[in-house]
Amino acid sequence: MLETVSASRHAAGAGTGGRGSPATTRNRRVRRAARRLLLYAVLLALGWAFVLPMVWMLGASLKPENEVMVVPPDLLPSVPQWANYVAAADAVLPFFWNSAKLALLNVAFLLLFASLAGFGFARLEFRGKNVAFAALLATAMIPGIVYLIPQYIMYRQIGWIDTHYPLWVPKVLTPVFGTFLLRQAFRTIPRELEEAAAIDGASTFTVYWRIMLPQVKPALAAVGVLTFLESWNDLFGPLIFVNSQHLQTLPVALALFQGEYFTQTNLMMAAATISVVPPLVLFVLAQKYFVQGVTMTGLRG
Amino acid sequence: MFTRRSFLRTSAAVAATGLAGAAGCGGGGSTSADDGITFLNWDPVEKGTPLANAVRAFQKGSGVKVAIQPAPSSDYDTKLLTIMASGSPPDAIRINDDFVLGYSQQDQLLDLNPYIKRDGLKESDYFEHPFTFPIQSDGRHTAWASGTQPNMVFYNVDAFREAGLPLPPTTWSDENWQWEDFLAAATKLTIPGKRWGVLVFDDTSSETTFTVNNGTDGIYSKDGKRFTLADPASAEGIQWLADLSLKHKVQPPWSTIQAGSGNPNYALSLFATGKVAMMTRNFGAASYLRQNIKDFTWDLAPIPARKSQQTISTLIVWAIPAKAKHPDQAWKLLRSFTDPEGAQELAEQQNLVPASRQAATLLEKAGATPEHLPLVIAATEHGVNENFSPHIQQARAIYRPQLDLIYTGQKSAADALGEVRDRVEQALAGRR
Repeated sequence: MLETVSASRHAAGAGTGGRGSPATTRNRRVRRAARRLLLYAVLLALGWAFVLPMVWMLGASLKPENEVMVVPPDLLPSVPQWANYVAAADAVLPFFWNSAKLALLNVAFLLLFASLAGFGFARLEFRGKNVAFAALLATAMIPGIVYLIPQYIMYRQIGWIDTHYPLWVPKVLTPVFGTFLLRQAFRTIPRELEEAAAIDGASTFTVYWRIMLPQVKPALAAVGVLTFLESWNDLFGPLIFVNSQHLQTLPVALALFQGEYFTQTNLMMAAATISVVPPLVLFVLAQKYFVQGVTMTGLRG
Repeated sequence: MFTRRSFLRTSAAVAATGLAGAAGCGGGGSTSADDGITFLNWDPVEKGTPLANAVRAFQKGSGVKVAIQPAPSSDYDTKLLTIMASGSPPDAIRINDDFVLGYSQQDQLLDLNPYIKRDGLKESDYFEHPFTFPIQSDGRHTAWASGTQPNMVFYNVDAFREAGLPLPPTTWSDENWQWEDFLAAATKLTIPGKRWGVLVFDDTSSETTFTVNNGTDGIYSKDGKRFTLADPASAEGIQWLADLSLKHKVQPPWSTIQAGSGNPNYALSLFATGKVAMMTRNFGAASYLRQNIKDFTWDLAPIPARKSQQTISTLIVWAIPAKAKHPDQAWKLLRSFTDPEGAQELAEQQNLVPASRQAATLLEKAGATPEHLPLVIAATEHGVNENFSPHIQQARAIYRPQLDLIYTGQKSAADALGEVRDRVEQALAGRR
């Protein structure tokens, strides 16, 4: 049946110009252009759907409060209120630096410890390696809320409550996801590279530092960006473990704009706009490595 | 040329330098136990806010240093629960009035009676509801209410005039302000496709107000053991609320209200933009309305009456945890919120009624917005609260989903509430 259809199509084609004739080529081009047009329309619609909240946020950040919730919604302010940004910046800048500091500490130390652990699990041979790796992964299955109170008591006993330590030290010392991702990345590198370095007299640490680490830059970028985002957006940790206002972070500052009975939405959106700038810049700068890293580590087991 | 690569390298170098300094610094908090008191709350405390001013005045007058620990209201209860359970609470806390009973029964809040007696504070100097609410069945006075925010009817004066309607009462009176009058006004104020006549607040406050005023105990019996919302008169009140949308079409449909309820400003912005002519709301909303309504006049009215005319009166409550390290100084802070100077600072935004009768007269000064602002004082006199139980959250988790069925017309209030009565009462008895 398929053959018959194909043959009849061929016959029809032969009668109206045939394969490669100008009419067929034009038809094909038109069809291709139509398909592409459709694809772009779908992509544009999706792109608009994804970017709409951002556009709304920007619009709301420049409106007076009584224009934010008008029905039907209007994306643009009647008169841009730049003073909203001055007020929001005034309120969130001290928190901004705390968030930046914590993100920096988390990214730097987590990359160090996760890459060391990932290298160990990928390349070194030792007894109980698989069990240790499984145990490491298992720790990620326990919801944090389960051990919140014991953790709080422990931090209190060692004097860490109302400091920044609980917000980065435990995280960088237990980098489950980072270790997993970097282990996968290290496993994709040919063993010959490592062996050649060993023949040249490189120690295990030199192999890790000078040979292997440069090879997994995309994965490091991926882990770095994800860690940055996790630290930057962390509301729960600062909320519970930090008491003093001058130590608080941006997510808490944003939440503080929410009142009990109403919210200053325009100021909150201005503060939110300020808070998304660093992740956005970071992502734009590191997106090549980030996408490469996620793709690469996802390919091999 | 400044490339992306060179930018990344420079950034990395700067980051490494910063890192060296930051890593050694945990950034310890400023207030230790010895140089003042710690004070956890969810109100804004930026310079110039009423609470910041009240605390500043207290520090100046008492010499006690106060380290404010702000926590967002949305996540406040989680924070409070964690620090109370860990046994290292701050010296003074803001506490949701829903949870005073539960924490009191766990002996986690200090009995303030010795301080109240020592300072000679008299109940008659305060409104009854805020003063007596924190008194437990065993006589302990485990919290201190500095003010109330009663639910009121907010209405668009211009819309009433345009519709040729007489304005609601300007005193706490039920004359021409029964449920039927309220409904008749809402019907006249409704312009299909343009404006709804009314929007009744969709939380437990309405479940209390419109049942108590129909002659029942509200959601629970006074001892917190019976689910009185399922009683016929209570169910009638809830059905009346549902019918505002379902039968009379004077209120947005439940699906619309639910869709907007994720946005805390939803109802307020509908009212502020003239899409709703009347709404029942906590008096705390007054600040938003003053700030955002520019093109019409609005005012306050009493809650409409049936068998009685009471309104839910949310309290602004503070407490001292039983394990606080500086209870004496913490009490001084709490008391300062009801002393003339502190109460005046807190009431400056005119969105609460001070618990002290003398301080409440501040709301009677001429020229305030809205015109009948002093009505909130009368509302406080007619204030009620939910009859609480330590198991209130479990009870709510059972009965509140039934309200969806009622408000969407899938079941009558009597049926939907009746079928969960036993389960709710078991929950109230702590058996779930």
